[in-house]
Amino acid sequence: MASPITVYGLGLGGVNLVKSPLEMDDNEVIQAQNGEPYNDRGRFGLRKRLGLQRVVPTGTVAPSSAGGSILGTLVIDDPLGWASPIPSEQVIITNGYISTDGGTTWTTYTPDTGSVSATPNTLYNLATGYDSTLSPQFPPVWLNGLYYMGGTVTGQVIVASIGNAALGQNPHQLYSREATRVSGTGSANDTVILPGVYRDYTAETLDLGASSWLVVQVIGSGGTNTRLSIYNPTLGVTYTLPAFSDTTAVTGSYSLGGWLFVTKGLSLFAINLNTRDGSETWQTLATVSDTGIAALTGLAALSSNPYTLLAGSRTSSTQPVRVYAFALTAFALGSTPAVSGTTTAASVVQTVNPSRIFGPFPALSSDARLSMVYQGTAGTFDTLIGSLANAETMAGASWRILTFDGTYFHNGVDTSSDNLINTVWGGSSTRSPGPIANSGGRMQTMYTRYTLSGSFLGESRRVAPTVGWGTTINGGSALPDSFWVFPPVLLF
Amino acid sequence: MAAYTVIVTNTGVQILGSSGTQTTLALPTGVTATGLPARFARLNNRIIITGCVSVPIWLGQDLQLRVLALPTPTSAPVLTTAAGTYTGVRKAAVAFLLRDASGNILAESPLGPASAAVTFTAQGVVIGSLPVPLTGAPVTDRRVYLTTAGGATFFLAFDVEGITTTSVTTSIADAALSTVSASVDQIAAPADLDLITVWKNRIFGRSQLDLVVGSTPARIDQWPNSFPVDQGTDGVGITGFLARRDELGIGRRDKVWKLTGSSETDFALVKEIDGKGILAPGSCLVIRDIGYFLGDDGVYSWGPEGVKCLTDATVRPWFTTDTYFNRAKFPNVFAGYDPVAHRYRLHLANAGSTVLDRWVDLDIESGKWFGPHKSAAVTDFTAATVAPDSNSVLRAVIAASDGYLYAPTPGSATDGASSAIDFDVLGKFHQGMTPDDTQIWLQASIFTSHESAGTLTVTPTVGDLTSSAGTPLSHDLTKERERLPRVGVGRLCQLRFRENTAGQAVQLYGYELPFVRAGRR
Repeated sequence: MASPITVYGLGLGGVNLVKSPLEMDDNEVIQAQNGEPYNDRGRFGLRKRLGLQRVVPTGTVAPSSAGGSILGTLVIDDPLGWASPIPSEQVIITNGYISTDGGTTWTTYTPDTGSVSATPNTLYNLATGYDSTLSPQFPPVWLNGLYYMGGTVTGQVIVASIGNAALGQNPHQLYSREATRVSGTGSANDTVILPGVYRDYTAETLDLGASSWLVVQVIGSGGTNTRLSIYNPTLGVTYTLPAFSDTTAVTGSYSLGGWLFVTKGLSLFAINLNTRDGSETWQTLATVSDTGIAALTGLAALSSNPYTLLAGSRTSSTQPVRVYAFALTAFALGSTPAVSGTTTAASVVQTVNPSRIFGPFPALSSDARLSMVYQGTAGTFDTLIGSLANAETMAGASWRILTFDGTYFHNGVDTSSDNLINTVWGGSSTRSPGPIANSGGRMQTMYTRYTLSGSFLGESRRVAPTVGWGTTINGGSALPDSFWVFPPVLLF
Repeated sequence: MAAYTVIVTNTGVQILGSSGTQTTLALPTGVTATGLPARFARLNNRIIITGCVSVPIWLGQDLQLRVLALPTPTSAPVLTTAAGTYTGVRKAAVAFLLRDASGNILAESPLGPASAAVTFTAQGVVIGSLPVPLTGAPVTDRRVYLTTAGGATFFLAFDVEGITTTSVTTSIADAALSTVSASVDQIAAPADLDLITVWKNRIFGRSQLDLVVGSTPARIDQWPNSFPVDQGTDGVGITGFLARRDELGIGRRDKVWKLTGSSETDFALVKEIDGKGILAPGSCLVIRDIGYFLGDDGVYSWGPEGVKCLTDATVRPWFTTDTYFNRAKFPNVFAGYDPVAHRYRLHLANAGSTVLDRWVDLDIESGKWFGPHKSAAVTDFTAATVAPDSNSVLRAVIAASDGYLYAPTPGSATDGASSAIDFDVLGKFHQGMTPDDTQIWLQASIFTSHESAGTLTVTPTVGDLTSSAGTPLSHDLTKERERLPRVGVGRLCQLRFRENTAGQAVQLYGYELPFVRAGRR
């Protein structure tokens, strides 16, 4: 018997239709339909080619047709500096008021179930599934996305998704019309609260890179105690934190150095998430002794040396709004942060008299580190604010946004004088609920018809009034030449 | 990596955001889609688009589509006197301007006709009858140029905001005029610009079939460069450009010219090769400073060693017979580059087909060809590009007439949602010791990768070159090596390997084919 014909690396010689059989190399072929050369770890030959899959821009967005035969395509792989493909002049609103003329007139609006289209200067509803009860009082804005509850809600029992995201397309724009479900692993009574972030504070968290996490809580679902989950849509990871011992809701969160701080009831809790190995437990750092409030709301950082976290107090129209400061000491990796100083009513740093307050949340300004939105009733600010002489009389049922720099509340326009209390945004309730507001427990978001430049995150924006919102402020006085906008974006 | 994808369809232009958001961009007033292939060139963050629209347009960072060529004012301003302080003899001329929302000047038109000279004596200069663009024209402002007293050169004086004002008065002194004179390069882009490319920081393209036109560096509104190439020698004209580092290849069907030099002062047109040229504009690609294109009888490369045919020694029949492809569609084929596999991919029409439903791959490293490939899921490819994936790795992306973008995807052995990939490999005819002898072809061993399931069909053809295929044999793909039944008796033996199941991967390493000589008949 002659030596067998041995053909290894079949096909690597490619297709040859020119040579005679006598001349052809053994590894040449006459046809290699859907075959391609393959060479890896010493294995070489011809393999079935890779499958053609529709391009999915991200892992969570379904591909869609361009709507016609594609005649050409070009990728802009460095879109920084390019405008968003989403019209920049738009409003996202989920319930309450809607304007279809760029903010001139406002009417009540009930969200429909349709997705949105894109036409500049038109207001849009977020996509389906918004639930007014379970969604946060104001939307967490995180990673250029607006997060809110979504999915099918049946009697507040079933929530099909953790959160929906309205993704912005570039730093110039907070919101977009595109609402996209980011996860389908939520459970009953999930509530998206604030986003947290755990960066590469230590080597233990390097695996997270610069990605951050959305904090989701499960409040007393099925009689169980309050539990938080953190969800990272980038990594597609959900991590469930230890449960609390009761069903009291978590009302605010803030992340710092791999720790997650939350307000719950009248207490400030913290948990070390640097390892997330199952051994972490909630630490009770402080409890506010103030019988005049029901719970702390919101959590934000006031200063970084030492870290001082601020929490507001939920109140009724007959109760004052108070802000409490928690000064963190001994804050270092591996140690449990402690709170120094009093956190009782004596440490209330501000009292106002609104009917509702939302926040506090960080403002995007180096000199104004805390903002809140409130709906005021007729009355005046308490003059506890320093030596402020000209406390402002609030119009009835107006929505205001305040910022706080540690000494004064102010509007960001004039921080040098004592004329600091002012409304930045707002109007009568018959027109606009304000940039971030709450109406009947429902979420409303801001009017974004402004033109910005540069990076949005990390700093405030001076906005030209000509493209701003409304024409009057504070009882008819003209808008200032410019004013600051403090969107509810957390500083990561 | 965030990225935007510009998609031109037969209904318009769309932007696909990295999150999947699609936004349709409005075509400029009066511009219509042609349904022809789109040609792109990107310069200074401006994307010029031709072919698919009735006149060239460009896309700016504000995602606005605008007509590339600003209209030139067709009427001259009229100078009269008013109260003022200027003394001298002056003329005026006006150009149209296009600014973005931030006031940045995006483009300027050529100067319109000059006014008559008027003598001023301590008077104001009234510039009346300012030209007004037609409705819908991409003009936002106008720019006024004036001469110095008694001079003939126009210098920039000021801009008139808006397009409605028809008269302005000035006493601007000669010394206050800009030292910048009206550019002689301010020549508008031709309305028939096509086949565009970027070379030497300029856009070059075809106009009037035989004319190579080019912009000034980093500008899209100044087109002073113009080089006729074999004007009037055929009705097709220039068929493609290959922008290599130092040379711009300019193809006609039967020639390749090249433009050398680095600026308007030393650009020179040189003939590179006669007798062979570029047949398909869409086949032109430059990869690592080597140009590739489809000629009338095969694929050619153009590099430092000149023009070489890449198919004559291997797959010439693909391009010179009607067996494999519809050669009538050759002028319409297009090519793409797979940066991961380093392959030049040419999309063609199957024999008898009128759509581009096949493709072949040139493995650039080895110079070997593979294919022809086909897909049951995608049957009409229309365009190709390269795009970063979620890991910022550049990948080949192919567009289709169904309106979707596709990419070869690692780990996938299926086209689309569920279409099988028909792996069909035909080996050579083995002759044993000599083709004159009859051989007994024994049990062949097949070597493949281990798969969790699947069967590879091995079909032998034994006998002559024209013999019919024998009974198919099955190779179990869960086995890395399997010995098949005896193949047969005959002078020649050929094996065909086929697998056509959705989701089934195949890696075929080779085979051993024992034989014994039966004798000579």
